[in-house]
Amino acid sequence: MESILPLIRIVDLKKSYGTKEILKGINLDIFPGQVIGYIGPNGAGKSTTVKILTGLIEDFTGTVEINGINIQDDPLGVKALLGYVPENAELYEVLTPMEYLDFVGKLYGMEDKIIQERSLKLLAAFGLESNANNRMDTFSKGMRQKVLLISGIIHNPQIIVLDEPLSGLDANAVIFVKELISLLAKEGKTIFYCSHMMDVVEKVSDRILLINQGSIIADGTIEELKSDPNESLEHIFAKLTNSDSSALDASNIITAIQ
Amino acid sequence: MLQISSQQFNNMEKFILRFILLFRGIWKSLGINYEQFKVILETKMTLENRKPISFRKRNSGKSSSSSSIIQFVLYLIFGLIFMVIILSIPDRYLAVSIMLLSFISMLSITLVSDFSPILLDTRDQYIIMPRPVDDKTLAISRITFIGIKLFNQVIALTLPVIIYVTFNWDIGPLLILCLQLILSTLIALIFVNGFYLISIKYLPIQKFKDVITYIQIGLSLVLFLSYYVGPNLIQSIVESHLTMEQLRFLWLFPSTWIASFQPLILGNSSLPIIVLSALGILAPLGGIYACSKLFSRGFNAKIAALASADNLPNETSPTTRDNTIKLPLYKKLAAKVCSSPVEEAGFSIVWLISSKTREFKQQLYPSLAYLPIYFVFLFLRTGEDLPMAGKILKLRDSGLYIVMFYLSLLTILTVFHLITQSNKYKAAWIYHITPIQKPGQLMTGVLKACLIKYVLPFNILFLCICIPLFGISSFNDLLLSSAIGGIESILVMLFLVKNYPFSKANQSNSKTVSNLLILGLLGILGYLHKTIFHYETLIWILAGLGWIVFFLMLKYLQREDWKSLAYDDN
Repeated sequence: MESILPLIRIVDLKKSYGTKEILKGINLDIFPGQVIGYIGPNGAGKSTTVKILTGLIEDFTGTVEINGINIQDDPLGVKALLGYVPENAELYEVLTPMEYLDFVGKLYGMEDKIIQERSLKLLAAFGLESNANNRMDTFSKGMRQKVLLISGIIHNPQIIVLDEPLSGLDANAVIFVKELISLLAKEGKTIFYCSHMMDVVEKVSDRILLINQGSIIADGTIEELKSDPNESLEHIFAKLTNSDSSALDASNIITAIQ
Repeated sequence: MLQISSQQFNNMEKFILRFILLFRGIWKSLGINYEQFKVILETKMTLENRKPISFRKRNSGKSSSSSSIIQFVLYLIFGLIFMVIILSIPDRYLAVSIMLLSFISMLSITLVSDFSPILLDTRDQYIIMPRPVDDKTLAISRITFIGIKLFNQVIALTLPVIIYVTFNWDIGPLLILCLQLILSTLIALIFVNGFYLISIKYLPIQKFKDVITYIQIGLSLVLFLSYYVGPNLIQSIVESHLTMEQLRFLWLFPSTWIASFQPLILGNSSLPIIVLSALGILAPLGGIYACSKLFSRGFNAKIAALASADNLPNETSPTTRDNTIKLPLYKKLAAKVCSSPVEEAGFSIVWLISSKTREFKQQLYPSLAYLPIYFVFLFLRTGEDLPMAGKILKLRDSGLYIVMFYLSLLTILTVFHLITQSNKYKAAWIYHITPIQKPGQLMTGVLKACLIKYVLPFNILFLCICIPLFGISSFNDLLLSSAIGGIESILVMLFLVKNYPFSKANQSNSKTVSNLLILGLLGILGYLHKTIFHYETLIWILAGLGWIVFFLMLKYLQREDWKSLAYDDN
């Protein structure tokens, strides 16, 4: 492993909003073909990390290098290597999938013919072939999510950042996307997978990063993180992130409505 | 506390509501849940009252707290116009006939544009239907709510007329007029009802909503047109002492049938008056019968289906494969005028979304449609007493038609103001995660789409009108004004367009000062152009120079890095 250069290298990454420090010095090396499950409670700094990785936030301290390119020196070079599907992402739903993918593809500088071919193939692969020329405002949430996933991989990126990619998908589509993730990883793509669905993270990731209050507090395979073999990721998560003072107690709610 | 009480009492509708709620016993005996009825009506009223007032602002996200009262005043102003019709036209039959015609048209159009959102409101389905509210309570709440709105509107529209008539007419004609207004309201309701029933029967949901949009656009045009033409029309009717006998085409309208009661009560019992009066009574009754018995079967079920039809998946289109072979028009154009994929992206996104978004059309089309009206108006007003040939000669010799070219350039301001806005602005995240080397290229694509779609057609239209009318010499004038339009649009883009297309929430225009500056500048340029338009060679040279400057600026725009487009981390 040491001989391969990391695809993503993060050194002492810090980011503050005013006096509030969101990221408190993150250090990470991520290698090609890894599926990273990136988890953490709300407000832990997950989406800030993702926004920095995808070049949306440019003012931070520390170093972020992707494929040897420093993101602060050449954000566009990095963006070209990445595919990103944000959480609850909106799309221009008055367009048809073909029109939307054409638009996105061109923003990546792709040629018309290639976009057309890939879009049709990808839409067919996701089972949306017959809807390729229908406006997306009539689509279900799952259908839109599929179009978003396609728009994240249409330019054949090196790294794919997925933020809650399964939201709105039905059980069959979830199985399909999980398969897709492992196939993409086999192709040497690096997947950065953010989610609150612990059971899925546990299954798809080969390395789990747990962030809490701006620091990575756990990093390893699921087996490495387990203190006993029967423990689930959900338990590990709760154990590591629930400080006593802020713990939610569901029984309070029952008391309140009685 | 103070706020609540002021809101409670600040408008007419609340009074009507309170009055209706007094009859608790009656409502209960109808078998509805009074508490639920009350709270539904109050909530709907509050929502309605906080709705932005015009569709220009409907998507601005800002809520108003007194829109009902503003609307009431607006209708009152129209009511005053109706009153002017009554008091200025000497023939009472004609006056009432025209007044009722205006009243019915106004009411029908506003009914469609104002009540469609209420009727198509899907929120009831998600918010009220899952709660334990029975169908009857909900149905009666909705009907009562629409009734209150309608009553309020009719009162505002008719109040000035009724006050005037109370002091100037005898009691008999006054009572008849009240009856006539009620019958006219019924006729308007029947029209609207018929419109809904027929549209719902024959149009798919998307088309139906589009039709409503076009009706709203039509409404603003009618208002605009009546503002310009109405006074002239009334004046000429008054001056030429026209009577009903000379305007027999009015006999076709139900408003005239209803208006016939007036001559009848004043003692004119000729055959046409009797026949028309009979029609005036029979038409509303027949209409009600037709609507309630013949058409309305399953109306509610259809409305419910309609409200939820947005989420139904489309039936599959058989043309999927064609997409690889047959290029749509915008792609052909984009391939011709754009030099890079990013520029094509900018071109196609503006082209497609502006064609497909209802809110965009709602805001843009009225301002585009004013242009032909201005044109007609300019034509009518130039040399009013001259015959047609004289008018054309005068327009050509004065160069007044050039004013029109510059007026058309104002659309650029509106278009550029609108293209950065969308209520789907959150979808613009895509610009920030893609490697756009030169945002200027994307923006030139945007610019080219706007020019080709919204400026070029007007220029072609002018060409078709002006060359036959004013001769070939108007061609260079058009060339010059369009070059100036091109330069204007680049400047507007550089200095006023600070966002990617469709990337910010709708908001009302805050750039009034700069818009006025541009307006003034265009005015000066237009005036200068008009003073030198006889010097044909000079115009040719200036037009050539203008186009060279335009293309140079376009190159500059492509290289611009648009720091203002940076991602705003909020």
